[in-house]
Amino acid sequence: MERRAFIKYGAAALAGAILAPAAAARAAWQPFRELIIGHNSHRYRIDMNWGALNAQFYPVNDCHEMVQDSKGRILLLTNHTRNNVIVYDKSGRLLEVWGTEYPGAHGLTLSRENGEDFLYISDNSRHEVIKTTIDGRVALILPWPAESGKYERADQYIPTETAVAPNGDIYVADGYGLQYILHYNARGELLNIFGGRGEGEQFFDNAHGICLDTRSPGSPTLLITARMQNKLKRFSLDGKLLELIHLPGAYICRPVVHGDHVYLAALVSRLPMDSGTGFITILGPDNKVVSVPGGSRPEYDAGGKLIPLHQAVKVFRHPHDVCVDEDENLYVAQWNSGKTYPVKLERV
Amino acid sequence: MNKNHFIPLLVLLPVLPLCAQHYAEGREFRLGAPQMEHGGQLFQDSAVVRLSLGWEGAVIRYTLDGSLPDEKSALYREPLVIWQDARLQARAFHPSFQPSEPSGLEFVRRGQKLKVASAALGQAPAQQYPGRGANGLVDGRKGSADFRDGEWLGFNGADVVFQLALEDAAETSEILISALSDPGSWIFPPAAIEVWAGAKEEGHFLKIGEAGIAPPGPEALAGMAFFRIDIPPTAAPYWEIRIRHFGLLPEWHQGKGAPAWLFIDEIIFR
Repeated sequence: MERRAFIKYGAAALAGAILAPAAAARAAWQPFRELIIGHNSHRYRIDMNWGALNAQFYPVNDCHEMVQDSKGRILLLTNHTRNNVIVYDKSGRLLEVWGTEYPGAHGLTLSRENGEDFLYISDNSRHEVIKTTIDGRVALILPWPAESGKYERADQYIPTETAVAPNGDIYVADGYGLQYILHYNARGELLNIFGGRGEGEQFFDNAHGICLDTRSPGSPTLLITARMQNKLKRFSLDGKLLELIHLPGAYICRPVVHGDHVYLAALVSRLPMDSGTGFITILGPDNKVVSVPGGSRPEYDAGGKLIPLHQAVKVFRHPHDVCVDEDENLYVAQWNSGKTYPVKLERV
Repeated sequence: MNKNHFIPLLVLLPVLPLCAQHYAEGREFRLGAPQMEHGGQLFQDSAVVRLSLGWEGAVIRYTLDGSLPDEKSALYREPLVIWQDARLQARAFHPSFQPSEPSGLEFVRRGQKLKVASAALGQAPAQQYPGRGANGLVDGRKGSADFRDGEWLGFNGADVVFQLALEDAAETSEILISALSDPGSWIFPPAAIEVWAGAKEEGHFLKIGEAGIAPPGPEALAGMAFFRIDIPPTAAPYWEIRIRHFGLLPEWHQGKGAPAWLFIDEIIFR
């Protein structure tokens, strides 16, 4: 028996048993039916208590992003400087914590380079990207890109996410800053800059997340979210716009490619940004929405347009990232959710 | 076994099946608020509103008078046709979930088509929220709930004095101000509205109506609202609407002491 589960249900039922035996018996014998969320091939049961820790010792503020390392461990990035990185096993057991110098910890990307795991942390407050080893030793810092000529001051640059190409090149999305995508080589030398604010689909409003789409063998491309525009945009590695994927109603944070699907946490389904809504969006190999855990059933109209998505049950509050493990279970980190720990979705 | 030990065991027995799992069930959660699809909050003859949730087994109940729908409120079966001003509120219900929070929207009959000679603002709106300028306030177009959508005029801690000259003067007995309330974004409804009218541009203006507006409390939800000012039937060519801003953010607000924002997108003459 899970102790937390007992505390949640058992204690309440026990109190009821003492105060009002008849009512408590009725409540206790009400059949338990676990809630399944999601649609079609991608449906999940929910573990709200996964990864819950004693907040006095291992506190979180916003849980921004999560990745799985090559040992199978689940790493959570939070902007609490007591422990910016919290490492769990897949059952939610705490393994280790580290990191006290990332007040604006926001983006977390894992890259395997020459057989070793590295992390890329995008820090909103430090206005830079920090590459570390898997146990937190700093390997490289990408400071604000003065050399690009696009920025006058460090505080104009508020990186939200990184993606690492097979050749080691690093892409940084300045999602809370001037909306540029910066392309560096593995040594941190700026090679190219594209995107930015403007009228036209090659520009961004809240270029919040970026990833490598490696589903097409031999021809990787970039998937970049334009969160305020409810769009996912595909770019070539040299910064040319290739494709638009419209996801009306979904304020998508970052794309995560796993197998031949793309997973995205949609922070909210309506403005304002703290509307207390949100859901997960899963795209199939053809980039059509197959499942919306926590959201409305995905439907396309006769013209092939997606009917706007929205939250249908309030399982999530501002989900900010989704991590997919090898069993295709999901781990969901949430922003501004009342300092809650991640939610796990087990695929059924 | 001692009898005294046996009794607590009996009490615990019904609880055991509940302890065996750790997955969530529906009754732990609220449903999401229903979606509203419509052709705009201002209508000529009628407005058609579609409600949906996209969750199997959920029903939607609604009211048109702004009250909170409960299990006995009207059941939504087909698109609603609204013929007169209405404050639509809708909630979703399902036996296995907690009822949703309400989603609400006000629908208002359009005003008369004004033949505008000139429209002006005593003080320009903030640079980042110019809306469609003074003329945009009487163009029959309303903004969405997103104050950045280009329809809204934003003013930071400033009163709005809107001056309107009409080519011909149709009779008006009611003025509606469409404003935004979103305390989380530092946007507050006006504190008061005054309506002045005159026969000549430079001549004598008469105050013909006013309304005070109750300040929102800490629990107020974000939303759009229409504020009505009844006036004696008046056919004047010159009008002045004075909208007093909220003032400083109240004690309970995270930005207390800083000036509140005022957002307006339409002024309706009926």
